[in-house]
Amino acid sequence: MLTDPSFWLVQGLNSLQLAMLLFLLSVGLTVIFGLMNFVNLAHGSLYALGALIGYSIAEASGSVFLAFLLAPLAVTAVGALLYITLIERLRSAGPLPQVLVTFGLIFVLMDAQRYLWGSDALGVTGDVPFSGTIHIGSEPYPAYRLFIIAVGIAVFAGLYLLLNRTRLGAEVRAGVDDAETAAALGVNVERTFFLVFLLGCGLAGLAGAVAMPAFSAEAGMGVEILVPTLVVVVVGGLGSLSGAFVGSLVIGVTLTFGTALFPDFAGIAMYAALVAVLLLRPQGLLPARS
Amino acid sequence: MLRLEGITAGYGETQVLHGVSLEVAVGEVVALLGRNGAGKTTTLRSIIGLTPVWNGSVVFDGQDITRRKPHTLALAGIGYLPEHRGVFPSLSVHENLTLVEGRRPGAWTIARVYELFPRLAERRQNGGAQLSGGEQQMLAIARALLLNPKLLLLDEPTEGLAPLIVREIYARLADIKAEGATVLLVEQSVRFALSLADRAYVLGRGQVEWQGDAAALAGDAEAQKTWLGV
Repeated sequence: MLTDPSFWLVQGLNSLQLAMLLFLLSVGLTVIFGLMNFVNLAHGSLYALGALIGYSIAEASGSVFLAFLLAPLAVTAVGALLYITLIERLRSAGPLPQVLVTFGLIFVLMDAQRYLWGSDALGVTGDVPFSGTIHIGSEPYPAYRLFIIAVGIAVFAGLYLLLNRTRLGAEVRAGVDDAETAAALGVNVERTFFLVFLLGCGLAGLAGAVAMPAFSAEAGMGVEILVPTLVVVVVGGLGSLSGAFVGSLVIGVTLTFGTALFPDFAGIAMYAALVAVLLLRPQGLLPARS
Repeated sequence: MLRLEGITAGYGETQVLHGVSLEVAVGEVVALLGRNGAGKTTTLRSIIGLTPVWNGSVVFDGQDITRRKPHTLALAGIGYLPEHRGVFPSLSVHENLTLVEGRRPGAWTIARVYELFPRLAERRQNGGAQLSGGEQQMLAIARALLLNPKLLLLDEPTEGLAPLIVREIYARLADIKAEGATVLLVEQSVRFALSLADRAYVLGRGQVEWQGDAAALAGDAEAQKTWLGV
């Protein structure tokens, strides 16, 4: 198995595909944290919500592409509701209330999802784009996973341009560097934070919608992916787009190859990587603030 | 232009300002002096809304601005140069300026601040983290000017700079003063501050201990020794 190049290629692509989902989830989380020292533990639940809403849209309309478009918008709307009702009030409350409330929100959202969609894994029944297989050496490989990789790379490129070429991007970078000075120069950091929060929610919804045709949708999927996402944020370095990207690659590779090569130890491979990074580079690989 | 009426403020449980009152008139440069820990920086932070005022009031341009948010005060016309300059390291020199330009349009434009500080124009593509201390200070002053402020709050514009650079910064501040700017200036280097200022306040333990003409303080070695320990 190990001498077969197609094994490495297939696992490499699997790593990339997982990494791109982790990237879509972690990027919002890390920039929100860098900007406002705010942790939203319920971020994974928005991923599940994106998948479930995406499932319903795809079933109702027969179009998975429509689901990709509308599910992120719906999740963004839910995010706006959460912001107005809870998160804005938590902003100045300190880390402990933030962690407790958003942790509680995980269970509220999971039960709400179970109530609305049930507890079963839901797979789309209609046509899925890129549903064919390609061949890597002798191995058949689902083309849809390449599509997930492409979405992740496209989002990274888009966010890179947004962050480095627009005024909003400059406001985000300035806010992450020094929120007080940015505010004293006329930047409405609170509004910037709100926009970044919404964008993060939308990307979590997109990740869920895009993952749904490949992995089905179920209420518990948000909790499963939360821990790797938080690990990516720490490994990559807080507040940084490239950090989230590189951290996602590291954790995607670690999880995928850990499972393929050492199935008995797959559970600890990610934590070993986390500990190694914390020992060698406690600030993370590419933090926004050096 | 600016009037503080008995403001008290602090951080957490620690009170730093114990009733500070002062005034800055239009077109006036006022120095705020005092030993370390006297409350100079906290006074400026309280004016711009970064440190909440507990009691007392801040009146700017005829309006009570106590407890207003920093970004609304910036847009109302208060330009602030923070302690330690606050240059954004993730932004280039030019981006540090474009971030502010246009928020309060007026006579100061990026082209004009590049004229005032030609060194910044040469380094426009450099990252904020690559600048020398003097260049960072110039950038922070230029940024505050781009708000076309009615009032400039400057927190130690010469902190940690070599004497030659200090002289250059003060020459530029004199240019800015000559254009009629209204300035509240916090300084450690008393001599430079008094050379620029019309009037001065000396803070000690969160209160105004001395106030008067800058020239009077500059010429009175005994008073300087008593209030400033120089």
